[in-house]
Amino acid sequence: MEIIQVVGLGLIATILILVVKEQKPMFAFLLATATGVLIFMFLMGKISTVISELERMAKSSGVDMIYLKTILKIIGIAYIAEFGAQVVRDAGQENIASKIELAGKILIMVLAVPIIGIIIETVLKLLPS
Amino acid sequence: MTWLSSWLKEIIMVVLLASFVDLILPSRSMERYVKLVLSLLILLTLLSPLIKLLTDAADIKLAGAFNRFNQQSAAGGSKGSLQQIMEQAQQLKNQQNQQSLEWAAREIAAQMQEQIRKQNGQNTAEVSVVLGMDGKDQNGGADQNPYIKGVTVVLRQEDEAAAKQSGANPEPGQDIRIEPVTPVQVEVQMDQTKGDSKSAKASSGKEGASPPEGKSNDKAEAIKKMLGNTWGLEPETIIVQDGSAGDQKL
Repeated sequence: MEIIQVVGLGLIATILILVVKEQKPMFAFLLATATGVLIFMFLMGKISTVISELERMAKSSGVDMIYLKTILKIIGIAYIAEFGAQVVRDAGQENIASKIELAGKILIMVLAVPIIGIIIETVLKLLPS
Repeated sequence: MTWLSSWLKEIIMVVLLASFVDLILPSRSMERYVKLVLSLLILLTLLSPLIKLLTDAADIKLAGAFNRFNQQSAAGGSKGSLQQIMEQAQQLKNQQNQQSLEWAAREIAAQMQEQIRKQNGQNTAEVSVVLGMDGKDQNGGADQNPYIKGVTVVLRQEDEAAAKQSGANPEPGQDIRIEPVTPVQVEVQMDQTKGDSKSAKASSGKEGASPPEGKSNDKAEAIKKMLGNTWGLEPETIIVQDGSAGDQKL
């Protein structure tokens, strides 16, 4: 029944924000951010079980842990960048939000560089020189 | 056939993982990028037998690259990277010190060998010198001075005439300059056919050797004295070991 908690928290926060927004837009933003962080933290615990299960599966099937680590890193980068970008976007700073997303994309691409390197090396060795 | 099954298992696992990640991705904006990386991973898994054939240790290389990336991201700001640079510099300096010490040790060994050859008239003396830095830490500054930690002399001759001769010969007047030489252990080991291991133990530490093995001890004593005088080593710190016993130990 965690979903009810999350939705309830979100609804209450939304109503409070609507009330406060007229008088103090600053506090409305703070409230929104705090709610976002709370829900995020709440989900962290849940997602950790999923990740540990994935890890166990990968270990039992003999997949390289490097792959799993890479994939998990991608998820983490995507989530955190998304979260930060949304918080900033809520505050009306579209510019900074897009920059945060750009940073997330670039960091994901950096993770791909070693893989691309090895694939290219293999392909080059396949070709007759 | 086991490699085939393991390969298939790996492919299935990676594809499953990729689809799962696709599912829990937060938004559209990241999707293209994440999909690219995931497809690259799947491609890597598909190619893995080929990669293993063609390139050596791709896994290790990949792990190294990721580790480097991790370290870079962990180092973070300029302070961290400065620290890293300093650490690397320290490492390089230590390496350089080590190398120069080794070189100096080789030079000293060569000179000692020459001296022994001149004194005894024998070519077969093998000398190895171990140098060390005085001062507690290896990372210190310029106030460190190298000293001779240990000298090992191996003689491969049972020529008694040479041994007798060696006692009489004065040391050659070479002027060798080596900076402060402090406590030194000189170990003279002799390859002798008549293995008297007792004398080694008896004479190691003390200079007084048991009389029966006079010949070898004479020789060893002579070398010891000569080295001690030329290199400014204190006689108390010189340890003479007999060849056969030493060889057994080594």
